Amino acid sequence: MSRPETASESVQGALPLKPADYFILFVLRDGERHGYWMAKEIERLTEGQVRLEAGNLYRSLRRMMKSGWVRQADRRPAVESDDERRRYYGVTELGQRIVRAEVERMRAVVAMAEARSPSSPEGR
Amino acid sequence: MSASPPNVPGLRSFEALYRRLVWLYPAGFRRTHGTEAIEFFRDRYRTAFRQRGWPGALAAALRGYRDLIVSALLARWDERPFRRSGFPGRSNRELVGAIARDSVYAVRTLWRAPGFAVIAVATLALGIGANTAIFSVVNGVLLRPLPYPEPDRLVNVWQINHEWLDSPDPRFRNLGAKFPVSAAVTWDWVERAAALESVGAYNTNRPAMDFGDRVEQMWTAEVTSGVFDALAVPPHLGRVLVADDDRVGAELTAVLSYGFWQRQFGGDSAVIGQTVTLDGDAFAIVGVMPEGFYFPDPSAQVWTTLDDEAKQRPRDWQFLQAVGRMRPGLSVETAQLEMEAMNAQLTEDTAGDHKFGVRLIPRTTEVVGNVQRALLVLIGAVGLVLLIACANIANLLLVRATARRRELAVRAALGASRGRVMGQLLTESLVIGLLGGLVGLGLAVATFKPLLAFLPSSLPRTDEIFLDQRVLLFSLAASLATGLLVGVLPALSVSRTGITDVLREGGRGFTASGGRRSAHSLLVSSEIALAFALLVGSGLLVKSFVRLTSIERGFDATNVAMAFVTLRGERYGDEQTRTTFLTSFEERLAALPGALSVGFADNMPFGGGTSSTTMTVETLSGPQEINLQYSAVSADFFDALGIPLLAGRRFSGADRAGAPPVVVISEGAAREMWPDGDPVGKRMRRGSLDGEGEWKTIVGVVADTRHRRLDIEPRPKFYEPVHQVRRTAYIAVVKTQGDPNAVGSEARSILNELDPAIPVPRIATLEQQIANTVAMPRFRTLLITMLAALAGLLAVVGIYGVMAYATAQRTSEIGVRIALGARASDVVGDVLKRGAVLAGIGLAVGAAIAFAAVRVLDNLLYQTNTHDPAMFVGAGIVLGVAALVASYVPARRATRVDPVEALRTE
Repeated sequence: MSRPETASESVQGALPLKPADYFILFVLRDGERHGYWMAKEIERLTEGQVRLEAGNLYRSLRRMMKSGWVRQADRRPAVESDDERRRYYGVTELGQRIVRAEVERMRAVVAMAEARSPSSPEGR
Repeated sequence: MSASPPNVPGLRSFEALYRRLVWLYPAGFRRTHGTEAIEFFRDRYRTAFRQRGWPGALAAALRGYRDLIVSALLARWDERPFRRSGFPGRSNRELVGAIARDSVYAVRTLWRAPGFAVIAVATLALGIGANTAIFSVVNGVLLRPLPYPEPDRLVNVWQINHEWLDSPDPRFRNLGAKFPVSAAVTWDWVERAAALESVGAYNTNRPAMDFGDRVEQMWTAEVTSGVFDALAVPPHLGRVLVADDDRVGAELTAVLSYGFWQRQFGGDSAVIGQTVTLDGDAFAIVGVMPEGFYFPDPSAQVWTTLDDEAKQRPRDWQFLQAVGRMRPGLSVETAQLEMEAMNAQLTEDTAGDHKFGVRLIPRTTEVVGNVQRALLVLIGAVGLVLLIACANIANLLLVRATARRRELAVRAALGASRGRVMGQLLTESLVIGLLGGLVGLGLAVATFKPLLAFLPSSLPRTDEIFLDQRVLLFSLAASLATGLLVGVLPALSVSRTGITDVLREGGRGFTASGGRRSAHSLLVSSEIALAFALLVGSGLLVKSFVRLTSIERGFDATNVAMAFVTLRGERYGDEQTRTTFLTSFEERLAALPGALSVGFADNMPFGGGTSSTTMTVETLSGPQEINLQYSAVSADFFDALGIPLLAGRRFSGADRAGAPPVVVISEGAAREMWPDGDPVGKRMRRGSLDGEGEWKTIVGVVADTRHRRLDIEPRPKFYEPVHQVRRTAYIAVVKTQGDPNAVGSEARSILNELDPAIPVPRIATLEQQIANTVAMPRFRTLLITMLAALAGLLAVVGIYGVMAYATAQRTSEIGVRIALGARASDVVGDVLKRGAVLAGIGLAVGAAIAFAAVRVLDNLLYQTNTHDPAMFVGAGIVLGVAALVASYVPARRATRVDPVEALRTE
C-alpha cells in the first residue's frame, strides 16, 4: 500500500513540531548530548517555561530515532566528563532540515501576525 | 562519575518507588533508558529539595511519577502490535480508532453483564460523589484565594505582649502572642511601616440600628480607612473610607454591604448622602461595596468610621485588630523583620511608652488555619473510602478477567498482543470509572444544597463553596484515577497468563492460579487495613466528642432560654430607671407560665462575651494582684443556671445600688487566693496594688463554670450584683419547666410593652449556644464515623465476595471431601481459617497504619490519647468478627454441596 515518501514531503509532513521535539532538536544542534543535559539545557534556555521529565524526554527521543531525525552517538565525549551509563544522541541530516523548516514556518507565522497588527488598534 | 552527592531527606523512599514504577515501561524502553530515568529523577528531586525544601521536592517527585506513568502507557501504545503487523508508522487517527473500538467493546461487555455494571458503577459513584462533595468544601474553604486582589499580600498585624508571654498561665501566653492593637499604634504604623503598603484597624460591633419602624441589632465593623486601602476592593457605588475620614472631627461616615443595600434601600443609587442611625448616631452613607465582598466575615453589613473618642484613645487602650497589605514582592518573613526594626525605633521614639512587639500572620492562615487540619483529615478519610471501593471493584474485575480468560486468549491467538489485550481491559475499567464519576458527580450536585446546610456554622467561608471548574476537574481526575486503579491488577494478571496454557485447559474449570489468589488476598487485606485505620480514627473522635460534651460545666443548661437585651439612650443612664426596668422585666418574665426562675447577667457562660480585669485582693499574706473574669448578675441568676453555692450566701434584693458593695467569687478564685482559708468576709477592689478602687466584701463562693468553650478550663471569676454596676447590655435567662423556645416570643412582646425603643432582642437557648461552640467537632466526628462505617461495610462485603468466590471455585474439591466423609464443621473451619488469615493480615497492617496515622488527629482530640489501646482493640474486634461472619456464610453454603453434583461439574 505505502509508497516511498519524497524527502521534502517527509519534512513538511513532520511540521508543526511538538514543542518538546523542537527544543530537543534545537539543543542538539551543537553536538552530541545525553538526555538529562538536554532537559536541563531546555529548562535553562526557556527560563523554566519548558520542563521535560524523564519519560516524556526519552519517549520523544525514541520516536525521533525511529523517524530518523535523531541517532544515537557512537562516539563518546572526553573521558573526564563522561558517564558510562549515559547514552549520547545527535541530530541527523533529516533532523536538521526539519528544525530549519520549523524555524521557517514559525518565522512566517510571526511575520503574518506582525503584518496584521498595526491596523487593529482603532479597528473596533 | 565523581563521588555521589550527599543524600537529601526522603530521596531514598521516593526513589525506591520510582524504581518500582520503572517496571511499567515496556522491556526495551526500560533496558535502554531505565537507569538514566532514575538518575534523572534523583537529580530533579535533589535540586528541588535544595531550592524549595519539602514542598518543592514533593512536587518534583509527584511530577516524576506522573510523567513516568503517562509516558509508560504511551510508550506501550507506541509499541503496540499494529506496527509489527505491517502498518508503517502510527497516526493519531489509528490510536483514536483503537480507543474508540475498545470503548464501544467495553460498553457492550458491560451491557451484557448489567448486574456487575450496576454494582461497580454504583459503588464507585458513591465513592467519587463523596470525594467530590468533600473536595468542594476543601476547595471553597482552603484552596480558593480570599476574595481580595492578591490575597497573599494581606496580613493580620498583631502586637506581642512580652510580659504576658512569660506568664505561667497558657491563656495569657496565647493572648500575649496575639495581642490586640490600639488606635494610636495604628496611626504610627500608617506613618512608619514601610513593609506595609497600607494598614488599618478594625473592630466588630453590634449596635442597634434604627429603621424608623423598629430598632434591631446588627453586626457592623468600625474601621480605619487603611482597612479599605489594604483590601483594595473598589466600591460598587460611591467611595470607600479615605484618610480624611480618620481625622478627629470628621463627619461620621458609613459604607454599606451590597446585600444590606439591596434589602434596606432596594438597590437605589440615591442612597449616597442618606444616613443610617446606629446606637443613636447618624452616619452619612458614602458608598456601597460590590456583591460578594465581605470583611472581616460575612456577618458585617455596614462599615463605619471610628468615633472621635475611639480615634484618640491612648496606646494602652487595646481593643482593635489590624490588617495590612505588604509591599509587592515581600515575603512575610522579610516584612516581619522590617516591622520589627520599625517597631524598635517606635519604642525608642516614644521613650518606652510603646512597649509591645509586632507580629504578622498571613490573613489566609488566620481565616482558615483552624479548620485546615480537620478538613484535610476529612478529605483523607473520604479518599480512603474510595480506595476501599476501588479494591472491591478491582476484585470483581479480577474474577471477571479469570472467567474471560478464554475469550482473551482467543483474541491473543488471533494476533492481539498482550499490550492490546491489556489496553482493552484498561479501557473497560476506565469506562467503569468514568461512568461512576458521572453518576457520582450527579450525586454531588443533587446533595450539594443539603451538604451546605449540614456544614457547621463555625466553618469559615462556606459562602465561597461552589461546584466550580476545579471541582469538576477533580471529579474527572478522580474518575480516571479510579478507572486505572481498578483496572491495573486485572490487566496485569491477564498479561501474565500464557495463551497456550489457557487454550490447553480447554473447557475445564477456571480455578484461580496462585498468583491471582494472592492478588485477591492482597486486595481484601488492604481493604481491611484501611477500614481498620478509619475505625480507629472515628472511635477516637467519638470518644473525644463524648468527653467534651459530658465534661462538668458547673451549670445546668437544660431548659434555659436567653434573651439578649440592649438598653439605649440617656434614660437608662439613670440608676433608678435601670433598676425599675430590670425589676419589672424580671417580674413579668417570672410570671410566665412554666418559668421556674429568672436571672440577669451582663455576660454569662456561652453568652458570647467575657470581661476580665486586674483586682487587688486581701490574702493571708497581704494584698495581691490577680486577673479575674467578672460578671454582673442578679440574685436569682445562680438559681436559673443551677450554679451551686459552696459557701456564704448568694446576692439578695438588699444588694442594690447604694448598699455596701459585695461580690461572690468562684471556687477557682477562692482556691487561688485563699488556698487554706475562708474567703467569705475578705475584701477585693478593682485595679492594681496602688489603685484606689472601692473595697468590695466577699459574701459567697459558687462553683466554677466553663465560659466560652467546653474544652477551656474555667478561669477564676467574681460576680457583682447587677444593680450595683452600670451596664447597657444584659442577657435575661429564664429556666423553664418545659420547652424553653416557648419563652422567646413572650419575652419579645413584654419588652415591646415596657419600652418600644429597645431593640428586638435576639433569642436563643443555652443548649443551642453550647452546641454552636462544638459544631465543628460534631461535624467532623459525625462525618468520619459515617465514612468509617461505610469503609467497614465495604471491607466486609469485599471479604465476603472473595470467600464466596473461593469456595465456589473449590466446589468440586469440597464435594469430594464430603463424599469421602469429611464433616461439615471441617469444611467450615477450613474456609473460616482462610478468612481469619486474611482478616488477621489486614488487621495487623491496619494497626500499623493506624498507629502512624492517628497522629494527625492529635490536636483535634480532647482528653483522648491518640494511641488509646481500647480503640485499637475495639476496632479489631468489630472488623474481625464481621470478617468471620462474612466468611461463615459462604462456608456454610459450601457444606450443602451435593457431592454427586459437585463431581459432575468436574
